[in-house]
Amino acid sequence: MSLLEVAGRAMRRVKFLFGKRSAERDMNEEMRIHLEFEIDDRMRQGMTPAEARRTAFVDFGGVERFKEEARDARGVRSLEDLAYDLRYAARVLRRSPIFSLTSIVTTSVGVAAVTMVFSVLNAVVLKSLPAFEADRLVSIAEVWANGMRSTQTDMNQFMYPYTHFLELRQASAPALLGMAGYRFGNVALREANNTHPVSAMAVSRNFFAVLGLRPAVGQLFSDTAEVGSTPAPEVVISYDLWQRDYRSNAAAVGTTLYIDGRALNVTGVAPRGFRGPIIGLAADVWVPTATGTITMFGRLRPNATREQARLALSAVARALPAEDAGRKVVKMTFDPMALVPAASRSAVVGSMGVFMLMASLVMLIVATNIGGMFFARAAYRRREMAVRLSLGATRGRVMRQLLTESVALSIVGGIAGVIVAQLMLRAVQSVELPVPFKIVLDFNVDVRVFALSFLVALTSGVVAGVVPAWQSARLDVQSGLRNGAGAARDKAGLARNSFVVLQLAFSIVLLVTAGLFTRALYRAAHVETGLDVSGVMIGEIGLQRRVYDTERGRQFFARLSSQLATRTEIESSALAQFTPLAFGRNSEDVKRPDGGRESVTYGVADANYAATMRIPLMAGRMFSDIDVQNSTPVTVVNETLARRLWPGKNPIGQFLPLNGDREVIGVVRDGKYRELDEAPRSYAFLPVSQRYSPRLTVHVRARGDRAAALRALREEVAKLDPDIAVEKTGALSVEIASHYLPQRIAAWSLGVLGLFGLALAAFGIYGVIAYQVAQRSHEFGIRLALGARKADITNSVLRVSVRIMLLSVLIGTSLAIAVARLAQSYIYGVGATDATTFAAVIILFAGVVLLAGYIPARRAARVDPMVSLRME
Amino acid sequence: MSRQETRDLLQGTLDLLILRTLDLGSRHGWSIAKRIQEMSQDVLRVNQGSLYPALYRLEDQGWISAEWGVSSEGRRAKFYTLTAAGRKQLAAERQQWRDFSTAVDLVLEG
Repeated sequence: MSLLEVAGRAMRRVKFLFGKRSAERDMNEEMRIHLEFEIDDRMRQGMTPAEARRTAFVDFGGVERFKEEARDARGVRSLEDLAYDLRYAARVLRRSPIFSLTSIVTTSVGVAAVTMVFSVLNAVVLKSLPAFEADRLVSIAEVWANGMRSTQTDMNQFMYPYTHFLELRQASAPALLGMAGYRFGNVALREANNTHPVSAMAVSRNFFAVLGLRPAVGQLFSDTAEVGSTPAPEVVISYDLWQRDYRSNAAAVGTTLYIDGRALNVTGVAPRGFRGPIIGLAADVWVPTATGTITMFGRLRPNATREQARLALSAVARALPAEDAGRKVVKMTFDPMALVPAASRSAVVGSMGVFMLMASLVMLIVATNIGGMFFARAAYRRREMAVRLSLGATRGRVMRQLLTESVALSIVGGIAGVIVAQLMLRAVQSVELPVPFKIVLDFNVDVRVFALSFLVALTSGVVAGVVPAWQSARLDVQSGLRNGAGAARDKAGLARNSFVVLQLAFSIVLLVTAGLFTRALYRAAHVETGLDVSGVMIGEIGLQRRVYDTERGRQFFARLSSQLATRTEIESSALAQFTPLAFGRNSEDVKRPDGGRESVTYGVADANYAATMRIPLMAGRMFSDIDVQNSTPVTVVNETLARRLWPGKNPIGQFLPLNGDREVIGVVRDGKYRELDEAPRSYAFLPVSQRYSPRLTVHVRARGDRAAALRALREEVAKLDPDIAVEKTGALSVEIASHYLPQRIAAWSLGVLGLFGLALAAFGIYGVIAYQVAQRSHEFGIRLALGARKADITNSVLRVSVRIMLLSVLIGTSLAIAVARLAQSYIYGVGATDATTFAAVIILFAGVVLLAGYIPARRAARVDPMVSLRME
Repeated sequence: MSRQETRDLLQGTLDLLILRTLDLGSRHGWSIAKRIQEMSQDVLRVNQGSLYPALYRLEDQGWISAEWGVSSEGRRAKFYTLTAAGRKQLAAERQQWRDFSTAVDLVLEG
């Protein structure tokens, strides 16, 4: 066949398909005309009109079958069937809106769960670094003599001195095309009438060049000499900031931004989608730096390997002078650069795995539930299918029709699910996490996520539909026509029962996990934290070292404290380096009298701290005005520290070797410093007056209106210096609770999904039992007629539910134990096999399941023997 | 009875008969069947159930084309016409049939 002919035929088929309605009409018309010719012909041969008509019809035979065959001849059979099936499915489903709606809602819940987890996974793990040839980039870190590693994740402490970076960069030339560095932090951006914190990155001038990025507008930093020179007053802004503050106007380039009190010239806009080299830490501005500490990365030369680079740099790095012996470099590490740093990758992937597992479980419940629904429906439609089969529909045809229905529903449900997921992700994204820097993650549903969700929905539709469809298609036409429901319950019944058992088992898993998380949260909420956070508002202030040297910084904080004391909105205020549960940043080992080493965590606080936070003073005194810079170094310790270092002795007057010997002047009650479920931890407070910190959190206890107290704090800061932003403002209780946000989200979502699963399962078991009751009503009628008591009937039906329940509890609890083990690290202070949780879930579960089974069981006993016997 | 005969009609022969009938001019479905019946002196009866699928198949292959028109009796009907490709096909099939029937004759007579 020539190409032209093929094309011609294809054209005709397409034309036929598009003109389907008229083609169908054509065919009907043609058949009708044919009959008329035939009748005329017979009349000409002498038949009466009635006789001619009758015989012509008889000879013509089954019109429908001919039409089918005629359609076949068109060669557009399968496409046409699909269109027909879809139309038929739409009609059937419209006629049973409750069934369709339930199935769509159910699917959408499952798909939403999967979509949410997968979009997070997609955003966190699967996205690649937005840079040119990102696979040639290496993240460079070093391991120090004290065992610490300069990583990218902990921004404050373990980064590399800039001068060392410059020396290493020189040595790296043979292996690396370029080597750049950055550090992340907050800066205060001053706008017309308010100063607010924005995320920033201080970068080496070649930062963008090594990443291989091009500006959206203007220029990125040019790679000029930076040694010793003060950085040029330049800034690059993010695409998002440009859109938000400049409405994407190219005139942004050349304008001035006031950042941390400096006037910086906007040189350009970073490319769209680029917020920085680490996931979540999204910068809005980049400023050049040539001092301080930075995190390093580099680009390998085309033929160089990471190993070559490591060899080239290690020797140089080891020879570099260090601040102290502990910080001496012992070796270098070169890892592939990724949005998720290698160090935290496994933890991230692991926790995502738990959620993925949960979401899959929900999806399984959904699929089994819909499968169960289709089973029930298939039983109900036996007569319809039998009629279709007897009218000559092939079994494949019937099966395809039923599958079309389940798949169509699952696709609609899937789309609804993706929309729900998108809305929920938006809500999740707007939550601010309790971390030092603002975290920005892009959870948008992209093509990859959508494709997966679509696949999941489609699979669930096929899985849920295929077994019932197959059974319907194998229907014995005779018995199907004879009694609408009934017969052939053996295999179908077994399959339906196992659907229900699985579904119940999966919802037990969800409920148990939700129960464990909830119990862990309840415990966390009732832990004695050793302080009173109600009515306490916080705001963090970070002073620029450039503007505030130690002396001026001290003055600033002192003046702020005395100003706040004059405000009537504030009952009392205090300064501290850390908020509770964020206490554990600094720690040092101190020798215990028994020779062991005690790890002492410490933080800076001022004289008002204990009073403002209502931490009971157990002995001695808190800091006061007499503890100044030049007086005896002092410390206030907690009970645990006092007990461990000076057992049986009076701790007051002892010396604690922390930054030199410090005299212990007071003992406060134990609190919680890192986690709510932590073991007693040694903690020491150092006075602000003796150990300066440029970044402190102001704790204010409101007198009445808490918002007013916060407003007062902002006003006083602005009065002292309009270039300072008060960061992370809010209620302390919220800040503390936010440490448990992931657990809270998990408990809520699992609880909701678990209850949803239980409800679905209850419907499932109700359906199964009701179906069996309907099938056996004849039998019950006979038994009742022969004198069986109603209770016997009820019991015999109830026994089925009990069997199903016991089996699903057995499977469900063993699965739940396995899953809880996986999630163990997220459930504080509650064992994976917590008996209370398991018992509570099983009791709730058994109650619901038995109730769902009892209702149809009772109905079985109410069968009127006369009616049920007459039915068949 | 006619159904029985149709089934006896060799597979593929119907196509040839239809093409041959249309070689003499355009016709509508019923008159094609009637014409075949007449030309075969009532031996071959074409059942409607085979006729229309065959017509659509031939149309799909581009050997005949269809158009609505009015019959000599003044009745609206769909008329089928042999196309150029159909004419070629007819020649080819006719040759094939001759070869086939000669071969069958040889076997039967031999």
